[in-house]
Amino acid sequence: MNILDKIKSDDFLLSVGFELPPAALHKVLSRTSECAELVDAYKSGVLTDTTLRSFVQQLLKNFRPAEKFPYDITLALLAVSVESFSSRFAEEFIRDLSQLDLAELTSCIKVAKLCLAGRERLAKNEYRQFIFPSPPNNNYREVHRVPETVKDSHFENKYSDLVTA
Amino acid sequence: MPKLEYFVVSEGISVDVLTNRISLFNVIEGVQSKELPILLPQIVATSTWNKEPSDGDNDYQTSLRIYPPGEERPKEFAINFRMEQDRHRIHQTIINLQITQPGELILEVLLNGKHIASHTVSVKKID
Repeated sequence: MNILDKIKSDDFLLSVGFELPPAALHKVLSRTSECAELVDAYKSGVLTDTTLRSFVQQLLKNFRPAEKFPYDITLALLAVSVESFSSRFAEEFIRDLSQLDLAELTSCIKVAKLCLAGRERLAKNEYRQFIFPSPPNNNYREVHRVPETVKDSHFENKYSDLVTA
Repeated sequence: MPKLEYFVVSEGISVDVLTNRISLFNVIEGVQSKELPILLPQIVATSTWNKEPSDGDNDYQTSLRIYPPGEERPKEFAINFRMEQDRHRIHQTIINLQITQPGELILEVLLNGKHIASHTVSVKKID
């Protein structure tokens, strides 16, 4: 059984147990072997953003108004698993889930809010590029960026030893 | 005011899209050339800021000020930012920086006009 089938199985849902307060549920889910397996699979590229999006869409087909969503815990686990990733899926999934207000999905929404708070610890990256116009080629010389210390005799000796060894 | 964690100038950087881990490649300490002028095809100045409790939603301006050796007026590149997360990394890439004389190339980072840190690159003419 692959990890995505496993986390929507009755066995997994029963193993997590009955409803817990959001912080406790977040902790319990983060300690499951399924969470570790999901993290590994996502990190290694076995699970892609596309796969996970499609998985979530499939789960949501089971949504029925006024009925508790059967995969509430599965979505909560997914949020916990991708919490520390800076990918687009992780960002969108956790943010979108945390902004829902549905009685049918209470656990995963509350857990997603905790994940969102946890993501605040990730650094934000901002990029800018400033380009000076290219000068004519023949006016500029090759630059040697080797620091002087690399050229000292100690380094040369060691390198020679390696070459002759 | 955000607090500077580090300011480093390197040839390139990479941020892992999944883990958000940053790698800096070839920190620039010095450049040497047989002839001048020389051209630095790419340098990346990375400044990383930590959020302070009082930062809130304030708007800050950080500037990268570059003093090439022998030039009277520095080159300045400013960015405005907010501390939306606990840590904010700003990567400023300068393409085709020209250096006409040996000496010290000084890159300085300022926050709201106040000097915070600098990185010095020695520029040498070799025989």
